[in-house]
Amino acid sequence: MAETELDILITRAIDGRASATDWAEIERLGERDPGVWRELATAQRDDASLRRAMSLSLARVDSVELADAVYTHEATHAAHTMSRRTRAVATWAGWAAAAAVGLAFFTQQPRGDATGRSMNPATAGVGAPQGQIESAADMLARYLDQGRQEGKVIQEVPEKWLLSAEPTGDGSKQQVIYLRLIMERAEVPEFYTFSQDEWGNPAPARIQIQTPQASPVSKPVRPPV
Amino acid sequence: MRPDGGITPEGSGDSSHPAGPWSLDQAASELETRGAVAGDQEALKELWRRHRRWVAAILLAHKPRWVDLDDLLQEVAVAVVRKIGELRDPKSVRPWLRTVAINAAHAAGRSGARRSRDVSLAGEDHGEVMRPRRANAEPSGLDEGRRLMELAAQLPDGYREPLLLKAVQNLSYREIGSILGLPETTIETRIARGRRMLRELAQQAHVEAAD
Repeated sequence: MAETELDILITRAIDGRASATDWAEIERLGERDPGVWRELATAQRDDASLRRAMSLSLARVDSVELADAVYTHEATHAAHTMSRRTRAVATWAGWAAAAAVGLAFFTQQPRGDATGRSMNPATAGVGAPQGQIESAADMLARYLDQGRQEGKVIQEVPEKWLLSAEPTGDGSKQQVIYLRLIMERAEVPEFYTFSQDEWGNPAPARIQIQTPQASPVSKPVRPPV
Repeated sequence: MRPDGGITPEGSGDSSHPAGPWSLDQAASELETRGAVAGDQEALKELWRRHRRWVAAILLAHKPRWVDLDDLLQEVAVAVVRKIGELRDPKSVRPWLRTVAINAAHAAGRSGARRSRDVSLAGEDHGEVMRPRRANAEPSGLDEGRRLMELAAQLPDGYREPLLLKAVQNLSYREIGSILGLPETTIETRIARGRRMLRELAQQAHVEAAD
């Protein structure tokens, strides 16, 4: 039997498409050459592994939706730009959240919470108002000024990242949701990330941050007990 | 098996996608496509949800290694929104989506812009590289699957797509044929040969690793 014909029989068996005739032929071939059974088993195992890996790798694509705003705004360039920014935000947010968790956990700063939600605004002076505070904008300005003085705030990034836009109730305006970015500085002794131990439990692992002077290799280090 | 030793063409024995459900699915897809072309936003969203997984598999088969899959899928989504009105025949939505996806993948390759996340065909798990592991540990099924995905990237074009489409959603040969514009018998042959080539690549890799 030609190799391709055996391959087709094996493929039909894997995909649940083999007819009674096909199975009879596989059995006949297997009696003559037990290697056929080994080949069938290997093919089935490989196919199952490939399917599982593909399924896991592509699971996240289910979150890629056609955003309402993208459809509504047929000014496609603007829509495209917004989509890119949204993705960038998602990427950044994930990294930032992970980094914040690591910092809060291992620098043991009493003012940060365990979720990494806050590096404590009080460190930048919000908690010590000087002069009249009339609005959130006033508080933000005070925070930025005080933060710069303390060296904890570098600057506010001028560009804001648009997340969504939709008409207001009366349709006269657009309500936008956006991110405001503030670049801050902090000194930390070490960086950690959360990995898994051999039993699948979350476990911190120290990592080295790559700099032009540092070693390019990040090695896992067993976390402190 | 034919008397001459050849194999009879595969008929209606596709147990994973018998004719009935496939027809219903096809009808639903066509209705969604007609609505989407006419400007129905909900229909367009449903159409996207129905097809996005296999579209992602097409991207995996064609995208440069360094291009992020999520970014590329978003590019395709935007292109679908922009161009769905140009689709003339709702029955050709699958090959149309494939063309949009391939164009996006090739455009990303031409741009040559490396994105921040280096996503390989095997997907990415950045924690993986930092996860402590015994050096002599046997590869898990998942590791083996990822390795096979890497190897699948080395298959010739005509074999890579059918194999990945079959693996991603267990699409029937008929569905894969409708996407690629090929007869079912050709799809069956290519999947069979693709699996053979993949097995040989895996065995070769095992031998090289042992050496």
